Amino acid sequence: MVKKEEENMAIIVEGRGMALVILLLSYILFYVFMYLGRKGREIPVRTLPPMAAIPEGIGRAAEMGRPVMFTPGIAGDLNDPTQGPQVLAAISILGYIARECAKTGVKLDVFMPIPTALPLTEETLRTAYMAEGKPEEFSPDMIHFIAGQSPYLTAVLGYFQRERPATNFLIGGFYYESVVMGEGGNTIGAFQIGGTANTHQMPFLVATCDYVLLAEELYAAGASISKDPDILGCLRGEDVMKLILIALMIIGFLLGFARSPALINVLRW
Amino acid sequence: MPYPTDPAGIAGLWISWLLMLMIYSYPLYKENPVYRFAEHTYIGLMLAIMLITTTITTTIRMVGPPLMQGKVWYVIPVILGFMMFFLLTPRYRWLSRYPIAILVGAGFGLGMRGVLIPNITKQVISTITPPAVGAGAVDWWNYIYIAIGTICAVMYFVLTWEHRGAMGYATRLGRWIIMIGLGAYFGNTVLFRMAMLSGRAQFFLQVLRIAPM
Repeated sequence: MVKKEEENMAIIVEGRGMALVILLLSYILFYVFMYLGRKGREIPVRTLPPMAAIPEGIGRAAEMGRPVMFTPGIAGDLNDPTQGPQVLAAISILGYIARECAKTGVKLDVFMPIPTALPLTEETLRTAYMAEGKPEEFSPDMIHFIAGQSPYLTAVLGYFQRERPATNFLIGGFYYESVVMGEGGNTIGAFQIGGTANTHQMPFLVATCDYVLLAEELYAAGASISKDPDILGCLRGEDVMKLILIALMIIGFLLGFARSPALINVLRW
Repeated sequence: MPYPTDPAGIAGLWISWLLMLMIYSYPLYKENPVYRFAEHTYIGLMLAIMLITTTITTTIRMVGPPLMQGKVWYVIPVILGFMMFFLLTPRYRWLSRYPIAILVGAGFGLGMRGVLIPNITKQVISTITPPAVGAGAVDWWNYIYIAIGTICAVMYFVLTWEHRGAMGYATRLGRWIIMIGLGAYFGNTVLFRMAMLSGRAQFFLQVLRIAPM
């Protein structure tokens, strides 16, 4: 009991010290690269084929005279630390898709099952249509809000059959709806671009979509579209952190052959 | 669960059986009015159930008892919750952004504590922990495979540098390893879905009393 109270009062609890170091180091790296980004340092994002395929998908819809469908999945709300960033990145991509649709006059239907993301989605679409000089083409009715996983999924499947969209964008935080929607889209012969950072859903998007943004590529795609120096700076900071962790893993891997627990003990601090 | 004997139970069973067939008319045939009826019934019912359960959970179970005990600060989330309804009024919809901002900020802050240790430090420790003393060749193979696989897969997700030169080889190997992993996931889930399908087939036969319930 005393130990528990001591733990509660401690500033750094044993076993969490390294997590704190990683957190602080990440913040420093984010800040440094955000600062450099704002000062004008260019931070490139590597080529992502799914992003290059977006205009192709919208062009296909224009040629076929059919709509384009976008949905960010229903894995979690914006306040979910794992799913929220995916939804935000998906909305950045949605802005780009909406601009392309506005340019070509293609009808865009957005299935947004996340209530907290509704205002952001609406503003993103409104801004995109205004930026293309076609504010009158934006309508809040483009956004279909259906709460609950199964009702949302059922509605999307019905929409696929009735409207037969030429291109589907399944980008965001997905749960099991990924496989059902991906397969439903395949049945109607739609061109599909998927993307999620949920490992357990990636196989289904890989199997059912023409192009897929795997895991963190989703964030990179969002950042490359927004060109926001803060987001790009965070991305570079994250990459540097990844390289540090890779270096640690290589050292730890080699130490493993010598059976030295030195690095493991440091990480358990 | 035995086969129901009361009229309400039997009616419920047959309604769910019919609705299941109506839904299956979509993959087995094509979109049709019967499927559409089942689809809209399902969406409407689910929304109604969610509305009732959420209202009961939040107002009666989560907020009601503390308020009765005099914990008046519980009224703050209630007000914030009601502010969300300003989404429906174009003139005051800006007010709904405050509860959303609080919800998102608090969610991220609280969620951060559960991310770093399991997703970073424990993953790195698991990757670099060698097999126990006296382990066989297979254990060492797994150690090498997991470590190299993890390093190359993480390298694939370096996004702000092009994958060229030596990095290009490592990231290509990483991509192969990711695809092998996703394939394993896919196979596993296909089996799970088949189990779900067989569950529905069993229900189909149980209602007809062909299979025991």
